[in-house]
Amino acid sequence: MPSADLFLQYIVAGMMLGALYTVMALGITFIYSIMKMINWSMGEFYMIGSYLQYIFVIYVLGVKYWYLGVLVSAVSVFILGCILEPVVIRPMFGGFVERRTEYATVVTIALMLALRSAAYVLGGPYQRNPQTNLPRLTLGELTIPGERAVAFAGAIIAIALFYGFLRFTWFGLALRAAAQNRVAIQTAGVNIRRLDQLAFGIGVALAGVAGALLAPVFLVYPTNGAITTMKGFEIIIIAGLGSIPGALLGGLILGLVEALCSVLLSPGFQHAYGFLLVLALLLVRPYGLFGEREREV
Amino acid sequence: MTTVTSALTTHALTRQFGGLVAVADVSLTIDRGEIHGLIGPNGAGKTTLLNLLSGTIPPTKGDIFLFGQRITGRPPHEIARQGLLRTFQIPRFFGQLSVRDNLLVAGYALNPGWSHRRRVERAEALIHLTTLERVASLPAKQLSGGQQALLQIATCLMSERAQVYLLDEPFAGVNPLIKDIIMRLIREENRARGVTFVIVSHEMAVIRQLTHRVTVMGGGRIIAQGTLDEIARNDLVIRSYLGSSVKELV
Repeated sequence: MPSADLFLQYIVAGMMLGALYTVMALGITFIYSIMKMINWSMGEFYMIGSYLQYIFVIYVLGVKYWYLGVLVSAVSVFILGCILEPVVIRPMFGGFVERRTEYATVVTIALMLALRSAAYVLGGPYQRNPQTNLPRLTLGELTIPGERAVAFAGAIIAIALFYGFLRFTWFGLALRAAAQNRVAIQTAGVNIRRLDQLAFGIGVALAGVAGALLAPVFLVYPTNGAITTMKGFEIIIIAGLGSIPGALLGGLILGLVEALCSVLLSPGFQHAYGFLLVLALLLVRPYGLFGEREREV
Repeated sequence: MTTVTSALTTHALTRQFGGLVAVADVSLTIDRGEIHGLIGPNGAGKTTLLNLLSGTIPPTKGDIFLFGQRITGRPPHEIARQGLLRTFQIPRFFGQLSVRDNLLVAGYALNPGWSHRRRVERAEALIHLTTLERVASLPAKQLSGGQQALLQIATCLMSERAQVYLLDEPFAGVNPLIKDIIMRLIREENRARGVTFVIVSHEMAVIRQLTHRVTVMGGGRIIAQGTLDEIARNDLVIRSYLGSSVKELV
């Protein structure tokens, strides 16, 4: 039986990582809510966020201003998303073809491969580490690496900002409306193409924030977004696609399950526990904890 | 070609879905300030015509003019901002947003120059006019069918600039009290601001009370036009839509 301290340490670490996974899940579910399209390239925007953090910290701002790096990385990924959406995604929504969201989803797979390949070409396969100047945090008997504590705090701030934007701004209101009815929002006079662009930018910026915050923890390399993206999708299956409160709770549940199973069973299978949870949930509640049962007629 | 007195004009408007011609060669002129009825049997192409006029779907060929300006193929949001708004037969609104927020979405999009306060005041005034006070803070999906019809119309009325409203079956499944409110709103907007209405409905009594002129569609084409009295004497209209009992109505 593990000691109480170790137990607590794992739980705290699990919840902290859970918050970061939640940021990814929010990005995926937000883009889906508006555009009805799964963005398979989320991990690559995470990767870009982590590379940008590395570049800003090592070559531009210095370790002292790492936190500014997070902000600049997030804004840069947002702008990149806003530029890429009209170029590669929007053409799939144009014209009057059937199943346009499926085409758009396939394009995000192509985007994933293109961005990942670009990272290999430009930066090579090497693992890089953007330094931080953060000391270990001590909470009673617990010691937490500073990078992880800061990543957790950053994730909470990102989630709060995202929620505040959706809840208290006009664009947030329009985006919530668009998530509920894409036709009605257009006949009410709102340009849905602009909203799609904004939603894609915000969604991938959330991945960029996660990438920048976790860069010193999980390091920087071309495929570093894969695990976090996978967790994001796990959370969405747990929560139900399109549910923002569900994504928050799903992140917490996934983080805790991984932590508890790691400490009680074996840390070697950390990434498998989430999958087992997803499989179990699919058996009893295939539409997720917060998803709604629906069928096409 | 397009006279200044016309609010909405179509020239040979056609829409095909594969082999099906849903709207065929429709040339129609709706006068400024007119309340125009659009009637016809199910599948006649009435809703498709409204979809074409509002930009929800593009025409296969033909042209649409709004106050003389060509709007053919323009996206729905541009047409809405240009002053043509619509409701849907199956109400389309934002189910998880409150009634108030539903109105504010349209208020923001259609009146970009307004202050937040002015939008809120307009929304509250419309909530009062449509007697939706008691449900104003509820998610719109909790409204009854009649209240949803009212919400759709109130959403359109959030714009003070809109000059043409297309209402698709606004009285379907609506109780007499709400029907009266909707009719009153239509008459008031028409009288006070000279707003043009195109109303699709199967309710001949309402069409008779409200409209100045009526267009009858059948098989995607216009089969008759005129006042309800005039079209009620048209044999083709009686055979294909109204039935012989119409004589009791007119």
